[in-house]
Amino acid sequence: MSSDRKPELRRSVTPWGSFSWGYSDVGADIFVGLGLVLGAAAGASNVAFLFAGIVYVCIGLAYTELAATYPVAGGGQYFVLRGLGDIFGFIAGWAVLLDFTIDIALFSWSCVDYLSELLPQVSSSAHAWSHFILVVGLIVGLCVLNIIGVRESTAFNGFVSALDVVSETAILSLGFLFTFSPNLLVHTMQTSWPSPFDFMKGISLAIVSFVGLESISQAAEETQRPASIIPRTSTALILTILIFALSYANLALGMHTWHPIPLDAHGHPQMLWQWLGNNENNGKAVALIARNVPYWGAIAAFYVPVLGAILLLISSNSGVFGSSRIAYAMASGGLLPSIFQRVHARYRTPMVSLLVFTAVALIEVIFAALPSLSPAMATVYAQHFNGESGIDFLGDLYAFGAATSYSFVFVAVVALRLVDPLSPRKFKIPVNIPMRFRGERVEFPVVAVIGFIGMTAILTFTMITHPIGRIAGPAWIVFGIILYFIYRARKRLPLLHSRKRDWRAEQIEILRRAGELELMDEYMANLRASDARRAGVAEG
Amino acid sequence: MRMIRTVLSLAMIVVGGIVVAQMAHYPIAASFTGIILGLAMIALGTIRLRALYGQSRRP
Repeated sequence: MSSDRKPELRRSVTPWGSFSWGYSDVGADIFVGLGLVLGAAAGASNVAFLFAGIVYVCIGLAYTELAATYPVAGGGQYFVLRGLGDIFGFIAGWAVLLDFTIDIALFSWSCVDYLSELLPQVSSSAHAWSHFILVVGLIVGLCVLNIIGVRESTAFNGFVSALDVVSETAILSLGFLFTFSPNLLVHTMQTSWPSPFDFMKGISLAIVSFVGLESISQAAEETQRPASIIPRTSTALILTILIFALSYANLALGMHTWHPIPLDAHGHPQMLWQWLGNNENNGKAVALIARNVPYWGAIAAFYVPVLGAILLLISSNSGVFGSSRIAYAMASGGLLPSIFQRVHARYRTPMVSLLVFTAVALIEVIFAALPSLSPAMATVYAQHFNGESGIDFLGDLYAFGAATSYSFVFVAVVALRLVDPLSPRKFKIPVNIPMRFRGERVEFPVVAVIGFIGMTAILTFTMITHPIGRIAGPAWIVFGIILYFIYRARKRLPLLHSRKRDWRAEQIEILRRAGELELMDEYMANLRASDARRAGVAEG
Repeated sequence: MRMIRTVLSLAMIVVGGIVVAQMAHYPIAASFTGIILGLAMIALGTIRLRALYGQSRRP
């Protein structure tokens, strides 16, 4: 083997490993998203989840097709880079990086919220400083572990995911059997339907429950026979997450609780969604629902907060790990300075990337915690940002980053169908229109267009309804573009155009590395047939 | 193990069918979310069954 050959990731992830990898990332989102959406969309929370869920199914199918066709770990930024060119690839990757840093901050924050169910001394409302210090400690700890190179194993991910799937299924099944009343659901929807503004806010926050599809493509690079395995596991993952999200939302609106719901701050009775969606409880809504399931709730009250905290910590860790990996991949592709490729001399981990993006996450945590740490800052936030809480602020930015990067991925699906029709697609998004483009037969993906419209709507809702998100989100993108131009100008690389790449050779190498030799042969046969056709046309 | 997975997949399809049938009686917004939930359960059960017995299960 030649010494200059690029190092490859070992392909040891099985179908269940691939599922659990994605589940431990996306599955944690409902633990955070449920309370946020209930707080905003009230009696229409299930409809908000449905809207975001349909868009999520579209983006999930898009990721499945792209990850099975191009099984590389770069994720959204790679697909967009390949479909739309360097500058858009950078913007998509930069938005994903924002999401990963929020991932670190938001999930560590929520992890402590869940722990506070058992340890009231770290509750964000009563003990803001101890909550803040623990969140910061967790983030710094995760960064150190990643620099040393310690990661949770696939087996551990699989165990936690299996435990969570069983636990959530039990909570929901028993909840629907013993506490759910469809009449109460309809009554809550009719009496607590939100204003259009709050409904839009709820939809934009509901997408938070479905973020993390990057893990599908990340798993693709380490899965055996990804083109065959990824479509099976990721469609199961998409549907599982959708079922859990819709079930929790409907249960929360139509549930007769086992224990009485506490009175609100003014001593008035409140509905379940109001209690789950307030600033004190919106970070731990799933644990509170679990506690209110008859009989099972007595056990669930103890283990669900721990399970939720572990799942959220894994998700937070995937943010630390993922941001460094994406930054590394972007630096390799000439989109970021090579300093992000610098690895620690002893541990061989991308230390600079890890430190930079963990620092960004810490800044986000400080911004989120300021209103609860300082009454003066609470007044400033109340005056200028509609009094948004810390977790709202993180949710705002999360929704913005996800909506931006996913919108680009939808466009990339369409572009790649048109410019790269020869790559074999073992999985295709359903509903396509056959047509001809530049002499090749292509299939235009209708679902990608529907998904793009839905995602653009969510992005618009985010901009309209989130006073911090509409400033901080675009500011992050503009800051990134300035850095990108400075870097490209210094390296004498084209600013708006893309570097020349041999995508054909790269695709053959990708399929060879993936062990998809049949697909590699099919791709090479497609290339030969296309070249022969073009030569024939030219001679004719 | 295969038998357990088969039973679970069939159970999911049956429960999904019940959810669709039950929620169809309620006002539009409530029934729509319920129907989509039921359909998603039926789809997941079907995908699992196809993974267990379908042609895609080749080495």
